[in-house]
Amino acid sequence: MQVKMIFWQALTPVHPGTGQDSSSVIDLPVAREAATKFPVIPASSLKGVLRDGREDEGANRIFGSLEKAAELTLTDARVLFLPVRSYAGTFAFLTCPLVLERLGRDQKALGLPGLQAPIPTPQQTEALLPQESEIVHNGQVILEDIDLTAKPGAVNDLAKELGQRVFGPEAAYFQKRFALVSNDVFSYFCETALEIIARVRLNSDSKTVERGGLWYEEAIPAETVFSSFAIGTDGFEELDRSFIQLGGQASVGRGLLRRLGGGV
Amino acid sequence: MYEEAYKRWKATLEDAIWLEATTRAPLAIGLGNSSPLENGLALHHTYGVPYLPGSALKGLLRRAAARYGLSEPEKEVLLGEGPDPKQKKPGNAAYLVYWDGWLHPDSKSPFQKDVITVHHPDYYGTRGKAWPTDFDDPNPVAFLSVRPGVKFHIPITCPAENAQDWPHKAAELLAWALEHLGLGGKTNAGYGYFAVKLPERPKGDREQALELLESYRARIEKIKPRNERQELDFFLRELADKPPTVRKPVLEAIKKHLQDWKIWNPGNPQHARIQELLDI
Repeated sequence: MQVKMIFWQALTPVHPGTGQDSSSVIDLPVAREAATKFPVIPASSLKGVLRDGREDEGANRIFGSLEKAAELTLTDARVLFLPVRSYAGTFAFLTCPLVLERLGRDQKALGLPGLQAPIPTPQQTEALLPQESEIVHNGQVILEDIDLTAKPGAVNDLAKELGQRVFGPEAAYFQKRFALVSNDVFSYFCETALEIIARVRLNSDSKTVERGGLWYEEAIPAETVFSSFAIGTDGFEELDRSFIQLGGQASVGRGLLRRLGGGV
Repeated sequence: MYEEAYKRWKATLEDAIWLEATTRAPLAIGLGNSSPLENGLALHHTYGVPYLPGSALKGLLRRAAARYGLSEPEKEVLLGEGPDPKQKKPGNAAYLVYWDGWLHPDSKSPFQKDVITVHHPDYYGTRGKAWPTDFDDPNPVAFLSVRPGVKFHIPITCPAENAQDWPHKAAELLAWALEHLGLGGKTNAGYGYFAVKLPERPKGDREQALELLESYRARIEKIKPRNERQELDFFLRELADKPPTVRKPVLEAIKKHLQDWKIWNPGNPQHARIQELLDI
């Protein structure tokens, strides 16, 4: 049995829809974890796209058939870093202790080395940053409608380790935007700072909106980084793709993900 | 930072058909989006730069398709088809992907301050009950638009293999629509028109075949009984490694020429070879 950690990054907004009415203003919400309300890409979406409709013997072996279960197991792709618009530095890569502790726990359970760097606990009003940061404005990190006190130098080792593991040679671009915030602040942005896209359907002749032709879609914004595991005896080469497209609204360009470094 | 993201995005979609669209007029797209000003503009959620939403491009293409009178099967491939509950048809998704058009990083400061002035607010507000007069207070509304001369790159892809004619067709239609129908709001006031550079379309087999035939036509006409042998040698050598669909019209023309001269004879080894190539 082999285990691999896989990181994906959204290059365009991703819409892993629920297909269900949210009974809120948003007509088409994205899938979320039931307990945390963090957005998530269900493993079934990933697996379906990787299989790509193939029904041959090889695909049946790796992805399963009615007779036999799959040899390759994929887990849900969870949000690792959420991009949130920042007053300075365009956007910040946010994460919180809960996300990192869960990741470490899963890594340990699957026999992978966990994070070496300590994970400090930020206060509600703090953003813990590495020494070199681009998202600080007058001692504050201003994200959407929340202002946090910047604590530069509080997560140097963590930023370095995460950058190297997830982004490899592109680590610097990540580190200068990285911020560790409290679980509550992260949850708040997961629920309120996703991209909301208004869509209309126009009447071709009059160029005005048709009755009932206005709806709101939610999407996980471009730049979001997801982590997932692949577990199994075979078929890991199926994951060796530089990019995939998944989720809803594909024909208008949603759901382009690139595979990041990966490895252990 | 945006430049890096742009490069990454571009590299990922390198197999796409790329349109380069430059604004010839101001662009006001996403006027209804929420914004600190009164009118919005379609700005990328993460990077804050203007962009052309893929859904707007696809919608524009749908309008162009209606104008062009495309057939139903063509529309199904290009645009997809919604489910039809009456006939219990499940519908199908489009076969092509219309990605967002991204701002080219060379296009610096793409915004301009714009203003729209409502001259008769009472007339519009009461739906025509109050008369519009010259004594009304004009109400200027400031907003941002994209200035002319800003370059966007639009990729179109088709996930199916060996179907690259479709994205080319879509690209040509979209180019026409961006130049003539306009994208976004206020197209009747001259907003949203582009100058578009299309990628070169690789020549299809048919076009190549016609070109080849054209280049040889005179030489085929000159085949006489006296030089027949060496000429046929030449043609058989030249055409040997051309794809069958490309060489077919030339071979047919030679055969017809020989038949017109009444010297076509399947027993002749050269003639037999021509027939053999035609039958492949």
